[in-house]
Amino acid sequence: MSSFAFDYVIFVFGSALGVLQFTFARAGLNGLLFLRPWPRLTQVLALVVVAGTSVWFFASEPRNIPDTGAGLEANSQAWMFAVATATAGAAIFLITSVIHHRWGRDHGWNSETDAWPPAGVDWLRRTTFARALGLRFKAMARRVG
Amino acid sequence: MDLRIVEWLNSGVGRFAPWDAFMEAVMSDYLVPALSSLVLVGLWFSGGQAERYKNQLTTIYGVGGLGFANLGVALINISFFRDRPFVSHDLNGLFYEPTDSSFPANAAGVGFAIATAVFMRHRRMGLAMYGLAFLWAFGRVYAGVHYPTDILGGAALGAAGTFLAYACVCILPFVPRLVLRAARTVYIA
Repeated sequence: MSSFAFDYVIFVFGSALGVLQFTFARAGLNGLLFLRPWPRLTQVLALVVVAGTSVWFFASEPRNIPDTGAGLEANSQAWMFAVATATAGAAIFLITSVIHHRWGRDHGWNSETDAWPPAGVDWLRRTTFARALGLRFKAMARRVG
Repeated sequence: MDLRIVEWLNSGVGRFAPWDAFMEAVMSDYLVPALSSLVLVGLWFSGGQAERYKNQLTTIYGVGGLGFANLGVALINISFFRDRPFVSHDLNGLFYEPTDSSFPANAAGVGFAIATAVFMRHRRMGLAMYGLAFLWAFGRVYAGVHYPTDILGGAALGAAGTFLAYACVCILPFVPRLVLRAARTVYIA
């Protein structure tokens, strides 16, 4: 990977982290916030991260380079964008699942019942991604078994 | 007329360095497409439970529109080629010199496809996205790499691409429903 491509991936990764944290804070998805008790601060910091990575990317080096040179061709740009954004999402899911592990125990769903756990990100207002996924797999395994 | 607008706008290049630096960032291949696409990513997770489904459809329209717009540009470029303004006219350079066809402007197609999708659901945010797409396209004319009619063609193609994506979802509503249901099962929607 060229240094230009690497810089682009870092720019998208940082911006995606900011956009996702901003969105999660506004939607009240507490289980996905790094700074769970401070959603407003999260929104401000998220915007700073988006602005900061953008300024860094464009101010650090000239970026108007053709794809016949060191620049990125449209298809490469698209898949790098997808990979960097997915990695940012995965990092949020993983890190918040670890740091809010204990908080996520109070998820409000009785795992002893036969019902399926709630579906959709709305449950992540009360628990973490890993715990929600784990409980769903557990319910699935119980049905298969 | 087309050329006159390009020459008039391009005559401003080099007069005020901070403005040129700003335009260089705005017209680049990376800033507006990345930020616009991140707005679609953000919409995927935004809103309450009832609102979110519509926002997720907006993301699907935007991504679909982007694909159709790019396909339209590629198809037109098979049979039609227009030289860039800087090729046959003496203009001030602010951007690298692309070698592909000037018409239709791919940048305008991408920007206006996403802006149209967002505008269909959120008027104010959509207007802001149109502003961003316009600024991106304006930068390309300012730098002498597109004629205004290239931008109009690209913008029309972008908007048409999004409407086509919307029509596809209307014809096959079960496809996004199934995708979103599967995504909700693993907590990514």
